[in-house]
Amino acid sequence: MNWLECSDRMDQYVIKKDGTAVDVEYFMATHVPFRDLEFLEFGDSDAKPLHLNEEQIYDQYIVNRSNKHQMLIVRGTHGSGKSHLICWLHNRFISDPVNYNPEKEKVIFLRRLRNTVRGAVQQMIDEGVVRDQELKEKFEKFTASTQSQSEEEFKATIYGEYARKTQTDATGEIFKPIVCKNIAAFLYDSRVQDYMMREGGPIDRCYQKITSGATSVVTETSDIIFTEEDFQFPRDVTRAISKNSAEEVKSFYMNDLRDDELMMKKLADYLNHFTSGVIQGCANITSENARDLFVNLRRSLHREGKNLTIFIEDFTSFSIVESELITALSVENGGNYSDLCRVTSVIGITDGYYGSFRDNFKTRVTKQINVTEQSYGGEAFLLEMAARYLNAIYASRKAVTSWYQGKAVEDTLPLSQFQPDYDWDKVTIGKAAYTLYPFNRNSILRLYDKLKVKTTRNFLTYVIQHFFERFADGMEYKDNWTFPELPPYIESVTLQPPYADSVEGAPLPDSDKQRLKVLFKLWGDETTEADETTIGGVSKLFLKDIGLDHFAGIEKVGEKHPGNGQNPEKKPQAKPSAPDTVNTPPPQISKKEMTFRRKMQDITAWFEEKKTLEYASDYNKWVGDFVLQGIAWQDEGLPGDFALQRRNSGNFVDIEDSKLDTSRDRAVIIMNRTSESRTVLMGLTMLDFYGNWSFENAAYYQMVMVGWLEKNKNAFINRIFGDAVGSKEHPILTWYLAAEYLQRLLYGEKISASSDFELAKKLVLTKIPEKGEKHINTSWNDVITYLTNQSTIRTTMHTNLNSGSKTIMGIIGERKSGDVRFFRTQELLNSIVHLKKKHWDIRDELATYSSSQYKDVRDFLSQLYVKIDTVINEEKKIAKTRLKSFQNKVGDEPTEEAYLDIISQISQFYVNCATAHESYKSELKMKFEGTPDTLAKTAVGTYTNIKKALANYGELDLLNFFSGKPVETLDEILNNLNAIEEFASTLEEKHRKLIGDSGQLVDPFLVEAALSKLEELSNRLEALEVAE
Amino acid sequence: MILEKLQKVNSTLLDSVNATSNKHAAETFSIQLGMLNNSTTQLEQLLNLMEAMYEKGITSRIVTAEIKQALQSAVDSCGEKVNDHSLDSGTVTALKHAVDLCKGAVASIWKEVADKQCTPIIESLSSLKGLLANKTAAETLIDSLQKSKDNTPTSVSSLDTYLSNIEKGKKIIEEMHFDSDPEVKAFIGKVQAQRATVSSLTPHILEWLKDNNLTDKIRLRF
Repeated sequence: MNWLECSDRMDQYVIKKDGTAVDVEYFMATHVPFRDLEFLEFGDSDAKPLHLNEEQIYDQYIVNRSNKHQMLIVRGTHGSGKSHLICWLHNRFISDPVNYNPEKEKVIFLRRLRNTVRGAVQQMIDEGVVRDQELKEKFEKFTASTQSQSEEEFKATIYGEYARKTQTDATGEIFKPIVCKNIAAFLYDSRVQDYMMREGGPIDRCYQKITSGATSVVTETSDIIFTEEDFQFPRDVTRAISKNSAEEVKSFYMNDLRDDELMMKKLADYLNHFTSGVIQGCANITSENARDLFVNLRRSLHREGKNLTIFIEDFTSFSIVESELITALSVENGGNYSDLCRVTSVIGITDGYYGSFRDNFKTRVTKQINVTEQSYGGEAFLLEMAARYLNAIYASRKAVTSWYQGKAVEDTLPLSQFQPDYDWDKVTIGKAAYTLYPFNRNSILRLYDKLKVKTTRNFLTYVIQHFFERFADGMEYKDNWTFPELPPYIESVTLQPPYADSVEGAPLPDSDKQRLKVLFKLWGDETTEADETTIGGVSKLFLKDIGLDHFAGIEKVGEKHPGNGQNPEKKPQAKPSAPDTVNTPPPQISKKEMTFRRKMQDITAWFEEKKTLEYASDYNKWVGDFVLQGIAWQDEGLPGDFALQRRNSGNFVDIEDSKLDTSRDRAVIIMNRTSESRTVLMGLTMLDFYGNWSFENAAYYQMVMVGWLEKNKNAFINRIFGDAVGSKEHPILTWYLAAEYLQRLLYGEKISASSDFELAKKLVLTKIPEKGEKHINTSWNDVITYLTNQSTIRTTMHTNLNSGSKTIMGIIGERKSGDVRFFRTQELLNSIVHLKKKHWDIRDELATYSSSQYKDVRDFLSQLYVKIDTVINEEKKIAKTRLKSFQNKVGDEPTEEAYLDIISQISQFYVNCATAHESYKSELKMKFEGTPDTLAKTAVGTYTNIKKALANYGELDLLNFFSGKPVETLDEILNNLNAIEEFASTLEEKHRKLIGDSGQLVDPFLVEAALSKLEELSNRLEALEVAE
Repeated sequence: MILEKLQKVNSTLLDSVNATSNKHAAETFSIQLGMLNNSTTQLEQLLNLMEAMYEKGITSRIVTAEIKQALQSAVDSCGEKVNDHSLDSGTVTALKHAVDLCKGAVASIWKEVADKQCTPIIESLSSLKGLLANKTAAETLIDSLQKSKDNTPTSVSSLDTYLSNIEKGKKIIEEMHFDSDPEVKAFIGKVQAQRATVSSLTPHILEWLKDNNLTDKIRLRF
């Protein structure tokens, strides 16, 4: 088989790409009879239709045995096959020697050539329709002008015609003349004109209609020039109009048009109704010229003794003469028009176009033929059409020509003599079977079903032609295979896990993987299960034909089913069905299932079509939960609660190209767009939907998910914990414990736990005092101030120590708060044993960690050690000075006996103070009022302990020792002794002075004088006489 | 070494306590000497006054034997205690009480003597001072005598002034010359007693009044 010849034949004869008519023999060789055509009398489309096949219509109406005037409208949507039907009716008629006599009947077939006005005009010239020489010249000039004028010039001409028609419209039928003037002024405004003449605007559309071919996707509205959207100006245009336009333009637009959608629609319709006249204007012909065109033709034929049978494939192309054509063809001969010939007209027209001209047609149309989906639809129709076209492709041109010239056109097809040498789907037509190779039944039906606009034209172009061209190319060159490659109208196809994974995991190029997916999805049974002869329902030999025999599929599970994709019902998921399954019946589904399907579709589109993942929030949660619950964190040497905390702090999961705004750099779980990620997401989605692992292929999903988890576990752990992973203890908790312990020492908390368990309990469950005690040591006070200022991180660390020590074992889903707490005690005890062994100094270990995770804790702890260094150094200096002072005070070798002597003297001192009437501070006296033995033991004991500690302890043990403030105790004792000594010195000085001042106080002269005077008085009294 | 320091301070304190105690005793002796001096000075002045009163003949006896004994006992007690520096406030106070007792005795005698001497003179001068040419001098004398009568002299000189004033009063009264006429004398007596009436103005009396230019000094009063 020469595959390139087949491909060329397809393009040149069978399915023409350039839109020109196919040769009649190919037309007939590929034509599938229309079966269920709706037939209506008159132009009223609401009448109840009859259902006829094409042969019945031909026989009853095209073969016009009663020689009646007829106007038949063939209606249908774009591409529904109406032109095909018209073409067949034409071919059938002209090849019907019994009913067609060229001497009596003029047959004109106006085809749709490139779907342009120019093409229509050219055909009218070519078909001899234009008999008036002057008109013919004008038409020829028009067809030439579309080529001679530049696009800009022609567009300006078109636009000018619309504006002129509006300005001169005095009919008042749609708008009053004054309004028409305003509309004309509006259209003449340069800003409006610029906007209307923009690319893709109404004038551009009209230009394309006249000069260019049809757009690739034909729509119901493609014939419409002006739309209401054309008057919804962008803001800059509106602004320019309101600023610069003439008052009448501004007024019309701002007041009458801008906010009135009905007015816009009315204006668009109004302008559209000028289109025919505008095109005529461009061709410089008048309406009368156009009408005369056909009247003259009929009159001329009548004179020649001929009738007219005219087939117009697409009336839309004849907008230049549309109303005149209708008028000319609808006039029944006879009576006042006896100079005209009888006309049988068969006019193809789209439903949309017919709708807009229904009033013109309604009273003139005699019959309507409606080509509906039923006319050419159905599986059998499609399969037969595919088989016919493929047969025509495989058959040589000579064979087709011979067949057409033969006598069995009605009952047979040209013989291609091509069959694949293995069993393949066939379609029986008549008495023979014709292969669908390289298509099969599944692919034909599914590809048709996926067409956005389901028409035969689209089917031929986008299914048969598209795939066969690539197939033939691959078959010819056997490399760079592009068959089966999806046409643009199908965004993606996908298989469900595990079949998708078997393809994606195969050691094949990506292009082959994609081909396999398309093949199994559209040709096969949507699986990749292999048996002896097939994979995924497709023959292994076919896979070999198209270079995909390296793919082995997966072991088949369940019942064996025939090859060639004969089991399309087989689905990977029992229910709900996969979202993109072909021909999915629309049963009533719950909202939950609807959501589930959307999510499955979302995941598929994300992977297959590289679309953004929409339901990322749910997936992120599920993935996060799955990872959290799937990893035995604590058994891995990690505090499980930290993983929970990390999840709760956000940015836990980052899925590539998801709608959720997450930071990939910070995320713990990173999922790239891979088939594995897809399967994991699907598995979680199904788990969420079913609520258990009982759904089909659940074991496979579990296997993939567990495999994914195990494969990535270390990465997840590393992203959360870095290298802080221990075997017997949690390093992070060890750090927290050390930080907790050291802080408590600095704050002066008495940590006198009876056991490691009690110590752990104290550190984990109790809080650090809020205020530290004042020390003589300013560095110590500075550290307390520093710690106080670091309250946030300290609180966090304590909370983390508590929560990280708790077990998460047995917790399913979110944490539930409760009063009962369980702790991983053994790991905490291991940490404490470790820390004790290291005398709580683990700074060397901290330096060995390099990951960024929990660095803040390590930094905090490292800084704390540095600060403790400073504190202890200063504390040692202070302690030494206090020891020296105590020795100076009490003696070089202070003993309790010596101190007792001092206490005794102090006691005597206060007694003497009382005797000497000296006041003193009772607070100071009270400092020495305890039991002398106790005072002596405290003072001398403190001295001795400090001395021993300085001589024997390491730094962190010294911190523990000094935390009890022995230096402060000794300092206070010294201060009290100093105070006593100072007070005693003061009194000593005072009393020494007093003693010095107390010399001879009475003057002896005075004593002598007193004695002398007393003696004199005594003598005088002696002499004194007394009364009797 | 604080122990030595404390021992030393305790010793100093004890010494200081003792020294302070001695000083207080000396101070008390000195104060009592001062007070003793006051009492002995008063006693000395009192003895001088009594001796003057004896000499001037104002009286021949003043103090009793008990008072004399008290004074002597007190003075001797003080002498003994001053001698041995044990003079205390009780001893000095005893002397002061004895002096005060003596002083009271002198005042009592004085009041008796002065009242007898001064009263007639003060009364006469008071009745007749309006008839005197130098009325002011009479009044001054009356005041002086009254004061002397009410207050015991404190010195010999004040006693002499008293005696001088007595003599002055007597002399003024004698110089009035109405003692020769008994009727005038009687009239004057009634006037002094504020019992003189219109009927007392006999022609003789009126004549006497005219002769001594005393008519404008007679006033009627209801």
